[in-house]
Amino acid sequence: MGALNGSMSASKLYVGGELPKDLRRSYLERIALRTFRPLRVDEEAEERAGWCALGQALDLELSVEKVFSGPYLALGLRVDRYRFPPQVIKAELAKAAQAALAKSGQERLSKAQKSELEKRVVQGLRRKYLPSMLVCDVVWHLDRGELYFWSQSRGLIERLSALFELTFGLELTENSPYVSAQRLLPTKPHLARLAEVTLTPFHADPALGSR
Amino acid sequence: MDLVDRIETTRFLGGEFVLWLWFSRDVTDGDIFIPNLGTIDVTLISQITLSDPLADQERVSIRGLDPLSSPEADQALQIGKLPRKVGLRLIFEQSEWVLTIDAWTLALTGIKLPALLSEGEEEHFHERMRLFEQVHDLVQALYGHFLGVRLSPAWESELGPAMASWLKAGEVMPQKRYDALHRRPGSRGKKG
Repeated sequence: MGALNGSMSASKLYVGGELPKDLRRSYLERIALRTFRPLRVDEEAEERAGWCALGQALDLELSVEKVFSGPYLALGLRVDRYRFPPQVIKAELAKAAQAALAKSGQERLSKAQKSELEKRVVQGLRRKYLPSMLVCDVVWHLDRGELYFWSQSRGLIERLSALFELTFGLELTENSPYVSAQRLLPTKPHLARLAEVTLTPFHADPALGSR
Repeated sequence: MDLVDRIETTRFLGGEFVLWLWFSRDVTDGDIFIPNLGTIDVTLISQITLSDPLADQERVSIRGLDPLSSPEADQALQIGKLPRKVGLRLIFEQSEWVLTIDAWTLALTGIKLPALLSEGEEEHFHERMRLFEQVHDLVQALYGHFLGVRLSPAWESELGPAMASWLKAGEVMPQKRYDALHRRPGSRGKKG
């Protein structure tokens, strides 16, 4: 389910800040710097996030045609993660430690040897298993300054906001009753009343007031 | 109070908004007229979750043919809970959307769009986005309409007490009075 098909479930965010004049060229260059890079077996990072083509998690060759469509800038946010259950690492580590002790004839392994062994065990697991992959669609209406993100996860929204700010130098604000009201209310007196609004105690008797 | 605090302490406005939609449905038979826009036909459907605005973890979820009329929903409202998630059907200018609104964030999820007419991939995407944005705009327009009365003196003096009576005793405000409070100058009956 995403921007291209199925039922639509997205969080709405507002984009704050000025857009550059040569928007397409400038943004494509910036996106290229934050395009998703797959995790490698021999590196330490367990998790990485970056941009991919909308609806195409494996398409990392981003072009103007793929990213810009009418008034929209459309991308996928891809997050890959290697995460093995601690019990699996522990069991693999015990097996590898036994083999290392038998081979070296030592009674016990030093701290440095244990650390090196753990690194090799994790690399071995990475060779055997693929990282988990998560992709969420992102569609930004450039003229309206509104962005839709196909996830409600707090963690992913924070991840998106951080990557978005790094990429475009613009801030995202999540929609909420307050943020929406700020955008809707036309005058200062309205905003002043919004600043003072309190919960209506419908269930209390009988005159209304703040709870 | 900083912006983050203000956002967190006013999430109840979303709950009051959905409760107002519910109240308006009973008063106007679901046809809510928005000046400069037209009439949005609003139906609350299929499921409702209510939560305490001061303790969001305390929730009651109700599904069924008519969850809004269930004693569980009634009881939850009587003790101060507000709608948190509600299924909605919106009809505007012969297009129909079905969705769930999260009152705390105003996020719209599970949106079923009106039938699409375009065929090419890019046109299909644009049409989906246009209809997707349109339903957000409709909800935004309803929310703006609600805020107009929510932040007016009429809320405390009349509409809030009328909603309280509706909750307690099922008393429905006369539509003429509702229309006057929502500033419907010149409107006569339903518009489309």
